[in-house]
Parts: sequence; structure tokens; C-alpha cells
Amino acid sequence: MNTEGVAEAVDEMGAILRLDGADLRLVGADPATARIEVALELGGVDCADCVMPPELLEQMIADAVRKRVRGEFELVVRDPRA
Amino acid sequence: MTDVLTSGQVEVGDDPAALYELSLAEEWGDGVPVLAATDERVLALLAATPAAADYVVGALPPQYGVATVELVAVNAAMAGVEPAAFPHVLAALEAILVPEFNAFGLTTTTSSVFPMLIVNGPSRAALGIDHRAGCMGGAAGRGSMTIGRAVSLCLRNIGGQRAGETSRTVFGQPARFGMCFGEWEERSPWPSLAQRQGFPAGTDVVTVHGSKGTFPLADINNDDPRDLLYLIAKSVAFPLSNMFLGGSGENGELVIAINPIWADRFAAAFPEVEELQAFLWEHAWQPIDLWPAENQEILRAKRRVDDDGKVALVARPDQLVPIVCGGLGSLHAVALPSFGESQLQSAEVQRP
Amino acid sequence: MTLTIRLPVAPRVDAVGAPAFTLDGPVDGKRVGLRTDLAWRSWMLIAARWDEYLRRDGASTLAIQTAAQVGKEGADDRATVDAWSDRVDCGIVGLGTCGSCTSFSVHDAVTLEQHEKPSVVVVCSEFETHARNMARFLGHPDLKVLVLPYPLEARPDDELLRIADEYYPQALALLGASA
Repeated sequence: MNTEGVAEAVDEMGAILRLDGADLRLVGADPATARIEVALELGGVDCADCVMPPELLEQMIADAVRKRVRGEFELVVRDPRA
Repeated sequence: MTDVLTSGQVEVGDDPAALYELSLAEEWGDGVPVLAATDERVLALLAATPAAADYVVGALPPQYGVATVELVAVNAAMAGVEPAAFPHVLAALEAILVPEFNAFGLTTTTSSVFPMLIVNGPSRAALGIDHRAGCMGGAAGRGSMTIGRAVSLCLRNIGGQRAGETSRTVFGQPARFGMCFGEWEERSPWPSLAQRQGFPAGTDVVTVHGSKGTFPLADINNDDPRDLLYLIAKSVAFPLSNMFLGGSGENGELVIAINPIWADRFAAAFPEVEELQAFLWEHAWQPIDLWPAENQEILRAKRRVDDDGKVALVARPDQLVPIVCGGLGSLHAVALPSFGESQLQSAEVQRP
Repeated sequence: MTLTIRLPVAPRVDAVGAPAFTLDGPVDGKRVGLRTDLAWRSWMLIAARWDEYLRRDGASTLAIQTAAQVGKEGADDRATVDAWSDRVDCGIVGLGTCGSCTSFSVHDAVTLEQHEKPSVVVVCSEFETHARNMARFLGHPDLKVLVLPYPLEARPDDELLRIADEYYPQALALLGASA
């Protein structure tokens, strides 16, 4: 797993979320288990529901990762709204 | 250095097609182009093992050809094995030659059975031993495609196993080209197969399993672990399984390859692998009435029917062997049904 | 341009085959062993008929039944065959009607020969070549092979008993015996 690519994908999505006052943090990317864990941070957000819906968020993060990382991975999104 | 090599030699045109034609004409090959077993390639493989070139690994059935490390290296060179992977080939043959594996029976039976190699240990990824998506075919890692093939070529060229001649196999199976895949240990919630076979974690181990083929299982309807495992148990206890042919059900294992998503689900219900095996065993049976009368008579004569009219696939839970591998698409498991009269064997990979 | 490559095949060793033993006399007064296998009902029926005939002809019989190839059962079976080989004057081993059961029938017949006792391995026609190959590979190229029709298993009892009657004299002849 290209962990630098994962970090870039998280940065890309983070930049989008910061427009709404949220952010995305990379918790871990383990090549051995193919697990990528990220956490949505809503600290600076007035309206949590105004941030991208959970299903769309997960899909967009996955797409951002897939552009940079070959092979399968399991994406776990820690979303406080879930 | 070439004076340590004692195997016979032949000249062939320096053209891959010429070598291929020769391999077909001499029946050394498996029908697929082979690499030239030059001294350079053979010596490179020999340098990767602590065993001497003339060390006898064993006599391979059915013709009891003597397998020296050199001869194994020649076949491994033909298969395209890289030096770092050669010790895996030797470990596989060591395991195959354990009497309880019953290579004598396996190499001659009418059954499709063939040794499948299941690999554990830290070398898997570096050697291209597939353990994720497509691990049983399609991922095309070098280790997976060549280690198994080398073992197959050894059985053919050294052991003399040939379908229709010394091997009475009716159908054969795709694994007879060679099948080698890894367990995705890092995604397993339980101890790895190698650990359960008695090896410390982090050891490179090859396990050989005499399996009749890959038996696919799928479900898209139910996420409940107990329901899924119940269905797996009933599926693997199919009435024409070899494992219902034996006298007692004491011999042979059925390996069940579980995908990582299901493994997490099953482990939530069965944190200990023995509990999962016990649950599977509890349900891996069929009622005697499933079989026609003639078959029922034989099953009763073999004392395979209990007082409740149940015919258990195997005598003990530990004969149902779960491993975790495959991709992250969920939905599927694969059973590797045993020949029956063969016991799974493991050997540690030895390096210089 | 040419390449020199190494050959992948094991050299064939032309080992001298072990001698095959024969009774050279009547079965009267001899103890004849019969080895059946739990897998094959047809052979159990035929062997039971031959058991009757052998006793009719003055022999005593000692029958054993194998069931497994590996595990504790397999080890016990091989030990039983070994002990049985010691106690009989000659033996008839069957049935080879699949790949591995032919291999193991040959193996057990060879055990008799290793005890210097005459043996006959009974196989079905489809597996005759295989049986002779296995005997050769185990160093006993002259092992005596009795070939029965194939397939046997699904035939009705009266047909199996007719086959038993028809092939009994051949079994004796291969042992080097006579009624």
C-alpha cells in the first residue's frame, strides 16, 4: 500500500472539508492489513448536518484513495455523526 | 562451481520456443513454456538453501524417483522460482514426503486430489505469495505461480506422476499445474494455521493439504455469523464428499478459506478458533436418509451413522480447518475438501 | 547458438526385483490369509466365497479387514497386515478397484512377499497396469496379479458369486497351489 498516497488523499479531502469548518485526520494506514482508518473532525463546525453526508463522504474518500493506491483496501471512517 | 552439479545435461537451441518444444517432446513439462535450467540458474537456487546439492530430500512416489536438492532446483528453475523462494519448494516436498500425507495414495488415486500449498510467515509479500484478492488464482504473484508449479514438476519429473499412466486420476484439477497461496495472517482474528500446527508466530511455514479442488461458497442474504457458519457446515458436508467414503471419518481435514470481512464477523461470535470449529462440526453432517438405500447400507456397515441417524463428515472438530485469506469483497468462502486418506502436514522453510 | 540445460528427471535405477514366492503344493493343510477392505462390498462377498472353498479344500483361513491408509487406523492396519503375514502360509489381498486402494493392496501383498510368503493381489481390469507398475516401483515386478472384471461394485450378489466361482481356480494357480 502506498501510504504516502493515502496521506495525500486525506489531505485532498481535508481541504474540501475545511471549507465547511470540518477536517479529516488520518488515524492509520496499515499495508499489512490493508486497513485505512480516518476520522472526521467537526470541532469547528456550527452545523454538523451541513457537512458532507456520511455515505457521500466515505465514497469520496475512497475515490481519492483509489486514485493513488493500487489494490484493495478497507476504509474505516470514524464519523461522530454515525 | 558447476562441478557440484551431477544431473544430466542436454543441448537445446537458444530460443524459448525450442526449449518449449523439447519439453513437450520429452514430456518434462506441464504443457506450458518452461525456463531453461542453466547451470547459472540452478546454482543460484542452490545458493539459497543450506542443504547440499546432493542431499536427498526423499523418494517421490509413484515411481520413487530420488529427489536430490539439485534435481529439485532444476525443476524449480524450469518453473521460474526465484532463489529466495526455493526453500519454500523444499519445505513443501519435505511435508509431502511425511508418510501421513500419503503421497503414495494421492499420486495414484482416481481422485482429483493434489497437494495444495498454504503458506504462512513474513516472506509471503516479498515473494509474491498471494494471500489477498485472487489468492487462489488471478493475482498472479510470482511466488504463487512458480512455487506450486515447481512442486508439480517435481512430482511429474522426479516422481513420475502422469495422468492416465501412473496416476489414475479421472479428471485431475487446475491445482495440478501447481497451487500455492498464503494465509492473510494479519487479517485473521485467530492464530494462524502455522501457529495452530505448532510453529512460532513469524515463522515461514509451508503446509500441504491433499485437496480435491476448490469448492466455492457464497451468500448475499445473511450477515449473521452463526447462520453463515451453519450454511457453510451443511455445504461442505455434501453427500458425494470423499470424506464420507472413509471407514471412520478420522482421517483428513477440510480447509475452509474465509474472507477477512466474514472472519471479523465470525470472530465476534467465536473469539476462539476452537469454538468456531466446534460449531462447524456440530452442523457438518447429513441425515442418513439423504442417501439411497445402497449407500445407506455401506455407511451403516462402516459405522458412520450415529444413534440419531446422523452421518458426520469428520470425527473431530479439529479436522475442520479455517484459514483467512482472499479479498475484501466479502460474500464468499472456499472449501478445500480433503481426499480423506491424507493428513495435512507442515514444514518450516530452512534458509542459509 | 545453443544452451546447455540440466535434465529434470530422476535417473531410472534398474533394481533387481525381489523374488516372488509360490506354494508349490496343495492348499490342504495350509493357512491361507484373506485380506479384504471395508470399502468394497463386492470383494467382501467374493472373499467370503473363496474362504468357504479354501476350507472345503482343506486349508484353514485367516481373514483380516483393512479400512484406512493413514492416521492411527492406517498405522494399525499396516501393523495388522504385517502380523498376519507372519502367521499365514500364503495370502490373497484385495481389492484394487481405485487408484489408492490398488496401491495399498499391492503394498500389503508385497508385505507378504517380504515375509517370504506367496501372495496374490486381486485387482479389477481397469487397474491392472497400475497394479503391475506399483509392484515394480516397490521392487516386486513379479508380484502375482489376479485380474477381475471391472466394475464390480454395483453388480448383484449372484453375479459376484459366479465371478468368485470362475476365478477361484486362477487364484489357487497364481499362488502355485492346487485344490
